[in-house]
Amino acid sequence: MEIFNIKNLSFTYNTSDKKAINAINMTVSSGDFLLVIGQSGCGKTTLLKMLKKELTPFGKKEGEIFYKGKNIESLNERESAQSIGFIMQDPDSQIVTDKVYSELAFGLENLGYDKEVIRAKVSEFASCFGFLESFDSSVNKLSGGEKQMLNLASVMAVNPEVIILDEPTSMLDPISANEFLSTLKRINNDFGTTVIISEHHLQEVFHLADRVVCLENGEITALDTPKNVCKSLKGKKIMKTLPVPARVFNSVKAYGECPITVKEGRKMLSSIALNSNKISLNELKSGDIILSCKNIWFRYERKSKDILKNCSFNVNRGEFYALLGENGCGKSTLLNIINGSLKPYRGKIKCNLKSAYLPQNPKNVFVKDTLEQDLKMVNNSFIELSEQFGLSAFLKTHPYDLSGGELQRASICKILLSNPDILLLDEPTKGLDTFAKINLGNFLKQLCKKGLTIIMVTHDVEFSAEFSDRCGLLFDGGITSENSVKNFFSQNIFYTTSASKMSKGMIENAVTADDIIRCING
Amino acid sequence: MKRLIFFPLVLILIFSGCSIKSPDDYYNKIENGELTATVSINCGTAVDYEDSKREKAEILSDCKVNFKDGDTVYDALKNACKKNKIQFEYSGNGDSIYIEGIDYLYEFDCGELSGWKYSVNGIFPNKGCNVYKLKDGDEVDWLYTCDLGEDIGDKYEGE
Amino acid sequence: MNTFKNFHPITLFFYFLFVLFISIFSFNPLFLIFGFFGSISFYACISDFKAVFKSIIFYIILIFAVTATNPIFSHNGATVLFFINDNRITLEALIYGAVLGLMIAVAVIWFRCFNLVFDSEKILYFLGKSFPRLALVFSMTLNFIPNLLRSFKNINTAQRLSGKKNSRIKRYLNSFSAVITQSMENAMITSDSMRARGYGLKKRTFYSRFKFTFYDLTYLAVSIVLFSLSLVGNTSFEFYPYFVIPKSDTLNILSYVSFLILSFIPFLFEVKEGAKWKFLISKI
Repeated sequence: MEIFNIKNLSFTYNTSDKKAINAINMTVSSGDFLLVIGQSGCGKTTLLKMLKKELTPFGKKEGEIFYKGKNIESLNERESAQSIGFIMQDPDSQIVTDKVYSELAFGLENLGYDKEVIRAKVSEFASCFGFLESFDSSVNKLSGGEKQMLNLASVMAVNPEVIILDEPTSMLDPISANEFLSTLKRINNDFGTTVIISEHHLQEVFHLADRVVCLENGEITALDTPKNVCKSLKGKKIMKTLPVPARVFNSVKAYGECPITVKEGRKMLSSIALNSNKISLNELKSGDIILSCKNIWFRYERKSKDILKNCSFNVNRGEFYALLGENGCGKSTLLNIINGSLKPYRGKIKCNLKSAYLPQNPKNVFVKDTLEQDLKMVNNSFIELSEQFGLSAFLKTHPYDLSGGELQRASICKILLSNPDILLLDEPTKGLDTFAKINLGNFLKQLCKKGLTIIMVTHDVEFSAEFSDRCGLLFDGGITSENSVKNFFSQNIFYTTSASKMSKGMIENAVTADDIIRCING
Repeated sequence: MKRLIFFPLVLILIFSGCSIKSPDDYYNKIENGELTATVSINCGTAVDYEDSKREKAEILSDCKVNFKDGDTVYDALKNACKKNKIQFEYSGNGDSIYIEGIDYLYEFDCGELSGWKYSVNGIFPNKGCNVYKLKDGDEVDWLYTCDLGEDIGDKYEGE
Repeated sequence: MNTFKNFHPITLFFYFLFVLFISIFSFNPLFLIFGFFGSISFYACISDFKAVFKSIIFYIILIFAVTATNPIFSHNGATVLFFINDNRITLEALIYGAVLGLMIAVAVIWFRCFNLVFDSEKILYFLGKSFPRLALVFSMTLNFIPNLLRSFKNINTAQRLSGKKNSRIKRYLNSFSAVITQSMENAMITSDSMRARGYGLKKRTFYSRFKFTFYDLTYLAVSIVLFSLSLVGNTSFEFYPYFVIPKSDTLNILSYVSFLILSFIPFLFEVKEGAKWKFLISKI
């Protein structure tokens, strides 16, 4: 059965002349898991918002959308709220009420269900989504992943036919993101709920999808099963965002079905001839030690647990150091100790140079109405640096109106204006799409070449593998393994990149897709 | 810590301006003077007031007190009460002394319009009791009213 | 453990209304002493002992302070202790002050218990019955304020560490304006999320997890009976000019006993449930 039938749909925002989406034709059948991919600004979000009447942005709409054969415009509000659920990117702001149970009940209350019905449904969905422990706790106590899960649960509580998700995992750490996506797949399998989801990072979601639609400049460039879409995107820029096995497949001479998962990738790799089976290790930069932490112990309260136990590490001048670790392992705490906002109760930090700190949310760096005012606040001679950063065009813009990548760049520009020697980054890739990440990575590398030292705390193994010089894994309050980037990831089995997982045992020291491709093609 | 020092200091300052006497001291030190006045205290209106617990109208009748030149109605009352060990309570100081209660009978005890008033030689001077200066031989009557003076022969004329 | 808390909000509300009413308006030292021990023992059950011990010291200081200050302002009373500036300091005024201090202390402790027992969910229940929209706004505010504080803290830290040394006040002002802008942005998302989930449809219902059970009814009835019995006796004390204790006839004793029970109900409840637990565990 058809759920959505989109006929010749175009949309132009009031603020622009360009069509955000252009002449889109497609159908979504009941029970589909449809993945929408495309670069930032390709019209993904616009398309998804058009499918939900209440969220349709202001602008000129052409063409029609039919929900179950009924024009979406003529759908009444009750029907729309009942049958189409929508989940956005930001886990925090979507939550309306203060308690978990009341959030679960919110949609049901709006639809006017009886108290007894609500009671039954709320308890059902709380147990289904794992909110039994935190049922009456306040939502502020939940982690980001749990919050997004709560959003999913409370949308599911009204039992919709379709759920539309706009980059739901971009603010989550990899483990929560995975959990979220597998829950989503379970819903799709168990209840037959139709899922329409857009994502930046495709490794974990690509194999879940029944069909993938790829948008470019507001137009559909591919619409097929995941494997066929991978094949048809060969040579296009969007290739870079696809899962590693598919990227390798498209870059070498290989035949048959396109692999998507690591398992399929290994199968493919074992069947083709390799040019070399080793990647040479990069030399460790040996600069003078610029920062050293010795035997640091830290806890937040007198009687609480130690967050850092006997933690020591050194960073050399001009190095790009990535500090990895699970949620709550103390990465951010360590960064806060380095920047001086927290004091360890034992241990020493030696650092004579000036450091600047970039928080997780780059918006927090900005407090003025235009970028120019904000940059001026730090240093009057900002023109040159802002040109280097490619920000000249945005000087009169409000910082919050910048896109994710631009905002990240602007925030780095602002803190670099105070001429620091060390840059401390907390999760700089959070919420960025693949292209923005590549830009950011290259950019940071250039800064390192100019003599800046970067210490980055991150979950993002792929990004660290591609761009950093040295990695450390923080576990149980101390750095348990530390090595140059290729050594680090090729020695790890679980905590490593999918390229490394895919090539383990076949190619030595390959940690990125490019490494593998180079080994095959020579 | 600052507050710990500050607090007793303030208390000491407050009490340094006070004279503290035992009851015996207080009642035995009656000031003398050459002039005399007669003080009576009467609460007849309170006895008649609905479900009142007071039985005696006369609290003090024709008590002779001595006073000095320049003393006021308030001084006379104070001396009379001291002599007879009658409780009274005032508020304010200097010119604005106001008698709130005599012999445990307080203003507002008998309705919103009740309180103590005084007359000198049968005339109600609408003056503070510490402002009105007594002359030799004056007769001071402290009368309790339940109706702003209407019931004791003082017509209230308002402001 | 807080089992008294699990009663229905209506029952709890009336319980606190009754004890507070009697504590504040009776002005009877005996009632107040019952109330003091009843409330503080319950308070000790629902919060930790250390805090209670500290707060007891506070209440004792409070009672002493009021006791000491009342005679300075009130000179009524027949038993004179000494004179200050021709004003008598009396025993009756001291007693009155002590009772007044005790009354304030008891009221404060009951209010603290009320605060601990009556969480936002119960307040929401009362609001939601008659004003569902107001209840939603209240609930949103409870979510919004911690978010606001957290983002203020984050922005302020980011500003402090962003390199430029600003004065603290200037930084706070900057951070504050940024928080407002950010929270307005977030509010847009929240309102989208609300509309997407059908907010604004007619006939919104209100969900609360409370059920008025027979147990709640029984307890409410017991409270009402004890409250009414506490009022039957002629228990009013006279303080001025002489401190007069009312005669203890049967009715008065009935009142006292009723209020004694009423005051200790929450404590007894906690103790009973605690004992039950221990008993059950020992059986296992």
